[in-house]
Amino acid sequence: MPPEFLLRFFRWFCNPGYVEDIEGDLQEIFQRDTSSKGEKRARRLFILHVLKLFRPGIIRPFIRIQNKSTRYAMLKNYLLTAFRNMKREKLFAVMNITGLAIGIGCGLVIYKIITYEMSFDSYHQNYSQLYRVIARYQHPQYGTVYNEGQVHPLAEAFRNDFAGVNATSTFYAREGQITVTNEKGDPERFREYNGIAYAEPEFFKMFDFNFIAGDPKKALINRGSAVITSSLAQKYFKLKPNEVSQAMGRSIVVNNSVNFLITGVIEDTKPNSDIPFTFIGDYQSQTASNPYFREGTAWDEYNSDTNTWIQLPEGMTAESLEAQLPAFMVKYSGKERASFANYVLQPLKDLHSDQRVRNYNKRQVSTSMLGILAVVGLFLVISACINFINMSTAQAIKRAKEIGVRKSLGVKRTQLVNQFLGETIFISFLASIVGLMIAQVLFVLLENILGYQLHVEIFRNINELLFLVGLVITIGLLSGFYPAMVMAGMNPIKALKNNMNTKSASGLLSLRRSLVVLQFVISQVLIIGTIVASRQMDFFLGGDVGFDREAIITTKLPQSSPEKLSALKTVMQSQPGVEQVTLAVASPMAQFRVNNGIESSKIRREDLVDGNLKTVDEDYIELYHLQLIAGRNLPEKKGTLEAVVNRKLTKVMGFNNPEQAIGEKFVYSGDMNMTIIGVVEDFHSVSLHSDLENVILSNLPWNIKEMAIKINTGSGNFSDIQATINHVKSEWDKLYPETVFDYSFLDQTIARMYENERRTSNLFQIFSAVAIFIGCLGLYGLVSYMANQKTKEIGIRKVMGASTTSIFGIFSKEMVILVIIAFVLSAPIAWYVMDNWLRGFKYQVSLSPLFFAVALLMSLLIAFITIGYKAIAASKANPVDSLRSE
Amino acid sequence: MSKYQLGEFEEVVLLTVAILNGDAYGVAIIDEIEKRLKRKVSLGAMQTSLRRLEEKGFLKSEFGEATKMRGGKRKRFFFLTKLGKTALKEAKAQRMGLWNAVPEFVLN
Repeated sequence: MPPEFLLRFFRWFCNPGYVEDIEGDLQEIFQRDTSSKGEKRARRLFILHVLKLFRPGIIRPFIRIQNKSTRYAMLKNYLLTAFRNMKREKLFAVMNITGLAIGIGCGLVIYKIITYEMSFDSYHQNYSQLYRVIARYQHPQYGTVYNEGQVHPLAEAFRNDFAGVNATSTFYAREGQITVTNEKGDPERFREYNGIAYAEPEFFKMFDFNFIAGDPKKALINRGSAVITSSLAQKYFKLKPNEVSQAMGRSIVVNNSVNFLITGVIEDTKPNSDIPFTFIGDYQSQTASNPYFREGTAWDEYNSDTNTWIQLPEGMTAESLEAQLPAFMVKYSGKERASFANYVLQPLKDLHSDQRVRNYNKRQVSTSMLGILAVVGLFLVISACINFINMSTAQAIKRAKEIGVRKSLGVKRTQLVNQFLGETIFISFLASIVGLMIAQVLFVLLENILGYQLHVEIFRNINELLFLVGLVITIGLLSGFYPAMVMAGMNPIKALKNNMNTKSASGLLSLRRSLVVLQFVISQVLIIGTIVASRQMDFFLGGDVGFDREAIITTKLPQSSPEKLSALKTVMQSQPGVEQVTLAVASPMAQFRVNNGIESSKIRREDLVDGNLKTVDEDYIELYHLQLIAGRNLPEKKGTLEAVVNRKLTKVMGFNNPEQAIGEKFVYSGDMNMTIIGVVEDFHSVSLHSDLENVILSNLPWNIKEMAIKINTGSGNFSDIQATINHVKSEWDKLYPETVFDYSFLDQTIARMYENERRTSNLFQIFSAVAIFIGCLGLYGLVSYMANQKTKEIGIRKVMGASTTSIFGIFSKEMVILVIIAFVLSAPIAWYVMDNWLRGFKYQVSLSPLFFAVALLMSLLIAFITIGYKAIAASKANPVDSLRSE
Repeated sequence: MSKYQLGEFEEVVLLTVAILNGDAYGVAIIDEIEKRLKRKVSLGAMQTSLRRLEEKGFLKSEFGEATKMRGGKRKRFFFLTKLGKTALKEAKAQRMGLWNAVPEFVLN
């Protein structure tokens, strides 16, 4: 059977005289398509057939000629007048529809963004019973700190101690290298940047993944078993989408160390999931990605990639379980830890918005951000309504005669109100068609910013359709109500005598003014917001972080012996175009950090001072242009436990002069006795969201994970840089044939830490552009209204000898006053909102008055451009034309 | 300008209705055109054109019997009117006039 709702749609729009036989034709074509092309394709073609029938000649006539009752006749008359009015005032009609269309389009876009962001992971059946266990610490310096990292045995302890509670540990390695042996017996290597994870067998009982092949209950029981997504199976084993189950039992090697057998193939993870696992290995085999796993039994090996998930049984609340957790903490981790640490349950539904801790996608949208977005959307819709109100009241005078005639023929006030409200709703339905197109264009524009593309789906998603219809009717009522009241309230005698002077409309005018002021407040708040957000972005990307990040490429190193590493370094240093090479744990600002406690004669254990230990080599400080302010650089010899620390740590130790810290001894992580031999100026070891850390650089032989190469950019030529990278790559392939050379530029890596802010800043830009545009329409409407009102006044002034400029002045004075009033109102609002936003960062630009001045100038400029044409036209008009009509 | 002026597609439709001689309804006409002229015609385009031709008076139509294949809906069969026949003849005469006026060597 063809889709019923499409048939119904067809019957609705089709001319009643044609319905039967065309529907028969449609049925016949559908039957035939089904037998020749299959049901699915026939259904798709059916949509096309129906849409192609939606054309003049087939659709039922707009205006029914049949005079069944006077109601229909009246309706016909209303529509006719509406059309005639739109036709007579084409520009107004276009502006009205455009303004409303933008409002509707933006409203729909924002609605879809918000519902999409709130839909993350909601498809899991146990959505409301799944929680992640996170830890809350009371820290003497930093206050309350949250961390998602747990120890490996925690899930098992939950399963044992709490009846009915299911739990699983997961380890998210994120990236890794997969090796597959192809039919010829040659190894093929794939680099995965996302999705490599390990989990206990309980994982698939708690979370919903659709298995194409394999048994979810048994898939992860054996050591060396793995479940992969359909697209990975296709990629690794060259399979077609319908034969992915052939991947079962095949073997793949992860990070050249552990061999896995495929025990399950799952459907690809949904885009609206924050659990983006594409490869899920059994928990014990995480040794492939995690060298510190050991047996996974240690209760003191915390890692932020190790998470514990629990599922509560029906009827158990999170609070009732949380109440039992302090005792649970004492039982497994001891009294000392329990004195400052505690377990908290984070609902799965907060995974996408709770920014106290990270999620696997590193892409979180806070509820307050969505709130701001909703407010912006509301503003845009209100602004669009204001436009409509302004422009229709401006036109009211032109329709005075119509109203006069209607009234003198005995039309009731309520009938007039209904007429005009109906007209507005009709116009806003027209606008919604344009609005849908605008929404689709916006979705395309926003794809880069949001990272996903949405589509207009009003025929597939009933909620969306309801939202749209609701929005259209609300907008119609909101913007139609006031003009309808004004028009219906006109005095018929005055209206017919064309005696609607400005005086009687002055109260109305002031309302119109305040509406325009409101629009300008909205656009100025958004302009200031945009300026501040993009300045903050510039600061993030270009601000001084205390180290050099230009022309440096970094690449991950596989586990290798010290000899191999030193061979690598020697080879790389001799490549043409390579200025310097360093092998270290990570670049100065990096997400991977090793943090442990520091004790010394000056720092007591209870102070809980910790430091970020970076294992580096002797070239690190020079390559990154860290500034050595006291002592000397690290020696070439490894493992001497000599340390270069940052200025902040020397201050924490109580030295005002860094020189005094040289020779000071301290204990790191409880067992490493280190000596300070040098001090570097403070640099940002974490993104500018957070404060400076205590940093220790030491030349230790372990934890060497990354190679950084500074490229000589003397020629400034990009192809030279590429040539250098090619040299480096070919040497790499000789030394590490089994590992893909995969590099990234440091400045880009750092820029990626500010994705959230980049999104905010760009969203502000787009929506403030829209708000400004709507505001301009409103201003234009106001100026047109003034020009209509003042036609005679201008004529008289001109006859008396006023110049064009002085008349232009009348218009611009009014407008400047309005913009300035709006500015006075918007500046404090913008200041308050943006100040709050900036407070979220440890390092931020200060709110300079310059931002506000720029916003004011911009809105003045935009306002002048908007009114310019109309004002000049009005002031240039020949006074004879305007005065003759008396 | 003749008052029987036909568009190219309209002419094709009228001719096909003439070919089908009494069996001309929406899908049959589409099939015939696709078969003879190897050209894709959508139901929307066809129906619009049929209604227009009927409105202009070149075609008349009546309902046929209902069949199961069509979900119990009747077919609407189209026939040429006298005006339609005249229009087709006129169109042909116009074409032939043009053809005859082309000097023979031009197209060789």
